This record gives sequence, C-alpha cells and structure tokens, in this order.
Amino acid sequence: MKREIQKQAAARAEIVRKILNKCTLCPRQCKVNRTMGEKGYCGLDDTVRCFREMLHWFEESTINPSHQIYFAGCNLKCEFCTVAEWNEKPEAAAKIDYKQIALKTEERRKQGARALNLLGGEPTVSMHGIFELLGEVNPDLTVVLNSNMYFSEALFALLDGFIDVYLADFKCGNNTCAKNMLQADGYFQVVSDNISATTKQADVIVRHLVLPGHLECCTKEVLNWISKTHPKVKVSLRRDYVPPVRPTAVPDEYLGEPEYNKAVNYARNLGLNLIE
Amino acid sequence: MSLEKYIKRPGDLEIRILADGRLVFVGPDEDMLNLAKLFNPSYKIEEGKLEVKEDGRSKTEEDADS
Repeated sequence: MKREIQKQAAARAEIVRKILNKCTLCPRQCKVNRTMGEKGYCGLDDTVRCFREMLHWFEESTINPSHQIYFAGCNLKCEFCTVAEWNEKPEAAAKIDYKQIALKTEERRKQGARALNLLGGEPTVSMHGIFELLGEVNPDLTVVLNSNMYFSEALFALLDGFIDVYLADFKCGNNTCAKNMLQADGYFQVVSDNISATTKQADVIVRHLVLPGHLECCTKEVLNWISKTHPKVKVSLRRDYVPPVRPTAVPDEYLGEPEYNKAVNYARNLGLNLIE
Repeated sequence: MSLEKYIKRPGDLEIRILADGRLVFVGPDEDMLNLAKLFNPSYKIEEGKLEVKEDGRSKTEEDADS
C-alpha cells in the first residue's frame, strides 16, 4: 500500500510546484512566484535547503531516537527560535541532495532511528522538497512531520497517506501572544483547525513548549482546547525554553521547575494523555 | 569585546552557563551532543535508556513497560 503511495510523491511535488507559482502554502498568502526566484515571508524561492541531519535521542519516547532532517526557512518569526539564523537567511544552508539524504536514512536506521523526522524551520514551506525526498527513501520508514501547523488547509489533501505521525507544535494559547512572540496573525484558529484535521489522518502528538510567565494565557488555554476537542490525543509538555540574548516580547528567564510542574499537574487534572 | 550584538552563523557553537551552574547547549547538532557527553556523564545514562535491537529498531522504557 505504502509503495503505491510512494509512486505518487513525484506527482504531489509537481502540484506543490504549481502552488509556488503564486505561493499560498501558508496563511501569509504571499502570492509571490517562488519558481521565478521570488521569495516569500519564509525567505525561500523554490530551492529546498537543508541545514542539518542528525540522529536525535531526545524526541518524544514513541519516536525516539529519530533521524532529523532540518529544512531551512520558516513562516513564523519566533523570537526565541534557537536556529533562527537558518530561518532568517535560509540561503546560508546548502541545497538539499535528496539521494544523499536517502542514503543517510538507511545509515541512521541501522544506528537505531525509529522514524524519519522532517522539521525546520518549518518543513511545509518546502513541501515540494519533502515529496521529492519521500519519493527517494525506503517507503517502510515511519515518517514524522514536525510542523508549527501554521499552514494552508489545502495541504491536507496532499499530505494524506504520506505522514505517519504529526508532531504538532502548539505554541500559544491566544492570538495576542502569537502576534507578539511569533509575528503570526489568526494563529489560534489556524493551528487548532489544522491539528483537528491531522487527527483524521494519522497519529498526532501535540507538543507545547511551556514558556515562563505564560501558564495562564498560553499553556492552560492550549491544554483546555485539547481537553475539550481531542482529549485522547498524545500531549508532550516541553521544558527546554532558551531565552534569546536580548528578548523584547518573550520571557528573559529559563523555565523553573515549579512552573513546569504546575503545567504538568494541570494537564493531569484534565486527564490528558501526557507522554515524555 | 565588541558591543555589537553577535550574529550567529551556521555551525557556531553556543553554550550558556546558567546561574545555577547548568550548561545549556543551544540548538545542538550531533557534534555538540557528543561534547555534552564529555561535560555531563548523566547524558550517557539518558541515552542508555534506549536499547538498540539488531534489526535497527530501538526499544524504549515505555515499550518495556507495555
């Protein structure tokens, strides 16, 4: 079955390339012609760039260890991003070599990788490249899409059948925090709608980074939404926030143990399916 | 020391030392994680939770519990 789906990868990549002619892959709706060298908010034309591949031992337990493929370029501008240099200037990263990465997937599998994890930046702004890559790799690999979920609804029809696990980042519990920290409009509705749609397609892990001082406005709001809408979905509460050197709209401190514990206890009291 | 904000470049190593003595590796790649092993022996214990099977798949503590 999956081998049949793999044959469709090239066709899906072509469909995405047509969208790039007037790019509407994400809610930014830049409508630039990326195939003619124009760059959208994500900083990308149609060249797909990869800035890192590695075996990672600290992902969620169900997908750990994971073979990470980092795509450059992102449609959010999170002030606390720890790999911002590749997202602000994706041209600093090398053009992806699909065959080389496909060979690496075999090597990493032998080293213990349980999944191929596509992340960034934001991988969906390089969706054509993802389909090109999936056309090259072993079709039996478990494919994880680690996305910020800020993408256009139209992508779901294309992704259907290719993704085994959505590792869905849900960063902010309201639009004001999202606007201030991520530079994203209409964030909550877009991301919550997309997460709901993913639950109909594949396994889903909702990942939330607990931010210092945002327990009430973000963490609890995200957890409340999960509890009401998808109470059985896997939830991962991350504690690895790293403040930037000179923060303006984001916390300037690391997350303390008490605040993290409050978040975990709140999730437990809601009866959520917490994973580590 | 320059007063200008330092701009990170791809491949730059960034380590922060917290007030409580912890070391934080920012956006670590594989080399930095290997370096972390040298700094912190407990890293190996964390990694040791994973048993790699001969077929290339791994087994986590969660699997073992189920």
